Amino acid sequence: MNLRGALLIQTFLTLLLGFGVMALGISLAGHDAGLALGAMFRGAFGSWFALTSATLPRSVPLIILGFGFALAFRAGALNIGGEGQFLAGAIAATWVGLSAGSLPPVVAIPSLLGAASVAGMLWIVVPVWLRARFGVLEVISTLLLNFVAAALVSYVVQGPLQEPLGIYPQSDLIATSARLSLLPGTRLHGGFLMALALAGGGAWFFSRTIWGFRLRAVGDGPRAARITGRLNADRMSAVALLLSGAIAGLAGGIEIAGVTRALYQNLSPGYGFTAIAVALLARGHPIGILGSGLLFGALAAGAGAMQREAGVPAVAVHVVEAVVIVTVLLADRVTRSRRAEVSGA
Amino acid sequence: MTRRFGSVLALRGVELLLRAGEVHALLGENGAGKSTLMHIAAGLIRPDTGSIDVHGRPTDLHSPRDARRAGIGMVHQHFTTVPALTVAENLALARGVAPAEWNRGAVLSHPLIQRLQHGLGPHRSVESLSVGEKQRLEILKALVGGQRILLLDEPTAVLAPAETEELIAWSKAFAAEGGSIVFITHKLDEARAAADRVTVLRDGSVHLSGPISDHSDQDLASAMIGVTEPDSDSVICSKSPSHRELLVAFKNLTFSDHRHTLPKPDDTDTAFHVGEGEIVGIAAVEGSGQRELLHAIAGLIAPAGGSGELEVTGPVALVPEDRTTEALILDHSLVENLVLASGADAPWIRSWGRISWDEARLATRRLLQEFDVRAPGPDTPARALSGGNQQKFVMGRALSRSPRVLVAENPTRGLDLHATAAIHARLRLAAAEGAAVIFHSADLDEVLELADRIWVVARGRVTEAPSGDREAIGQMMLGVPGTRGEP
Repeated sequence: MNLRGALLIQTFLTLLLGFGVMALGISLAGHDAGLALGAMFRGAFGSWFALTSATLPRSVPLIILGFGFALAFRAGALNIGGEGQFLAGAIAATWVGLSAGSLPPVVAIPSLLGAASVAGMLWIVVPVWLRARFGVLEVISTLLLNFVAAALVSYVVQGPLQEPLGIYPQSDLIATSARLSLLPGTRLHGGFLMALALAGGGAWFFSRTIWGFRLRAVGDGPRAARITGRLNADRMSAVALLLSGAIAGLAGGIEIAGVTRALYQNLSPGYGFTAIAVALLARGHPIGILGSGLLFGALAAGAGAMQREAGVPAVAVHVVEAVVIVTVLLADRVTRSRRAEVSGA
Repeated sequence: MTRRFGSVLALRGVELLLRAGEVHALLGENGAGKSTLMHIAAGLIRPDTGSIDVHGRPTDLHSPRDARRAGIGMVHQHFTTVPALTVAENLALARGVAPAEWNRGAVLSHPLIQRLQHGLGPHRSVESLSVGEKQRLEILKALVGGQRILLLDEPTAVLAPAETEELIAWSKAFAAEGGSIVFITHKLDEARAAADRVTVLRDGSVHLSGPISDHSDQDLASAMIGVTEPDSDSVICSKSPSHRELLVAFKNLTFSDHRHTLPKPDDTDTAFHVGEGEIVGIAAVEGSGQRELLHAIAGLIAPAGGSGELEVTGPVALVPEDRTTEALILDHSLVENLVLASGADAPWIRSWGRISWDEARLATRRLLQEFDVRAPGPDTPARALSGGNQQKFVMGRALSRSPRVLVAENPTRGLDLHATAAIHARLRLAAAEGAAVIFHSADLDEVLELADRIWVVARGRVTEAPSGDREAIGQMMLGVPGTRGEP
């Protein structure tokens, strides 16, 4: 069978399984699964408002974070710290956004997004250094820094960046000139266009440029990349991780500038982790990430509606995420061992 | 016995009778089905049809454990010991007992088993063992449960001549005491030296079987490869020696990396040269420093601390040792594998680092045609090709860049006779066209056959072999006292 077709079918079955397991769980818990799924669909796609103000804005961070994860993933490195880098980017963006009142948007917005990217990259510098110097697994170091970032957000919203009255644990709203907007009357913001551009540009980068090709080579065959391709695989993975961090930071900045306009605790409902499922479901392909990001954005948007209308806790949608991750990894494993048997013959 | 892998019939109606007290040679080219047959006997895979009788009783082997219980031990082509553990721990693992009980029972006190243990202190870590010692440990592992049937899958592939002789002598002694051995090889002289009876497999069927003394080498060879082919003519270099330019020159090189201090490929003051049109073969046992030397000539690693002198007139192309992990990315297509090896100056690289895949595909198609690689097209994954075609692709890729120096490590490992002949012809042609060819092969006969001159690398020292005498070179490879390989 054609490989791409097989992957599409596999992806579709994976999703079917995920939704099936969630529906089963909902029924077993004594709820009406049909009602819940219907409410979910309406909450995500049922109206122009649902689409532009619930689904799409939630997809934006997932697409961008998913692409960031994929960039490192395809170069053979695992950045599990997207959540932390997202928060680091959000802190930097808030700081710039609060002091950008006198600047015109053409200066304020790029500075805010630039600061967010730099902060995201800085948040992954230590894991990259530990990996290069001591061989510390980046899976663990990036994961642990997520908790540090969450604690840092708690600190700054009760300290340096707290709103002037000092009552609520959150920042003031950022300057109007630093905000992203797009469609009046909806919550859709310019970050959506950036997500589209990133996915399109990423697809082009991986398939059409020698740099993207080399990153893939390092990920798919590190020894061959080193010996036949004469590439410095360690350095390329390090660069991929740094870029991955910068992109996650950018997502944090876009969230501040486009959606929340202020920093507070629990800013992210776990976008950094959901993005891993987004990227895995798409096998790291940027255009696929666009699709799976929209899907998981819809899932997040529909979850609220499901809770309101059917009384099913919104966290039930995490079942889909979990099933997707486990199934994709398992399918990958099976394909690999089957291939090994064929070439072993 | 019949076994199918997908659409490939690996074995069809094969029968093998192994008697108590014999060494039975199993001959055949790569892909003939030898390993498949042995994997069935070792319980690793199950036949589609057919049965196994052990000591006259039908026996169902569902797993390697079943096979071990039935008294069958297998030594695989690749080492299966755990490098980080000690000898005793590896043996305990093989027996399925606690590490402290590794030497439980009387098995290990048998004189033949003791002979295998010579020099293998139980507390030595496997990492520190030489290749020959690891091989003996593998055999020990196969026998610690009291097994009397031993399957050896190409046991001599990694051994030096003296170690091979010792293994053959040991095998005969084991058989003389009533044990049975299946000895897989594709070398006729080894089969003859070791075995009482022989079975020849070709394309999954038995083409000859019986006492080995009843059959001439010609019989065995034609059973293995089908038709006996005339020798291909070797190409004679057109340039006379006086006009040859020196392309590689080095002396006094030492190497190191982060973890180990590697052997010193050359710590004498002698200078070594390779000129245009020359084929230099490097004879060495694994891990003697030849890999570092070849990688340095190919420009992959630099000599440590500015030591020595190394001058190479490029461009240099490398045919790496391991086709499946070093030369190719198996999941990538052939065109991607071509682009992988190309520099930034390749014709399919455009401004801004853009790749013109159409151009690269065209080049891949030309390569497939010119080097007779059997593949559906440039977009075929490298994994889908047979080993021989993969290697022809790798060789073609290296040569398509018109290198002045061609470096190759084990260029024909694991290939059948046809593919080997094709690769040899390519190496000769490259030299005839003026390239300096430097290659290493673990197979000494290949070095002797192909090389104009031979260097021996032993314990990090390079020595030019004075003659093509097989015996003498074998001794130098092992650094036997009194020969020039000894420091």
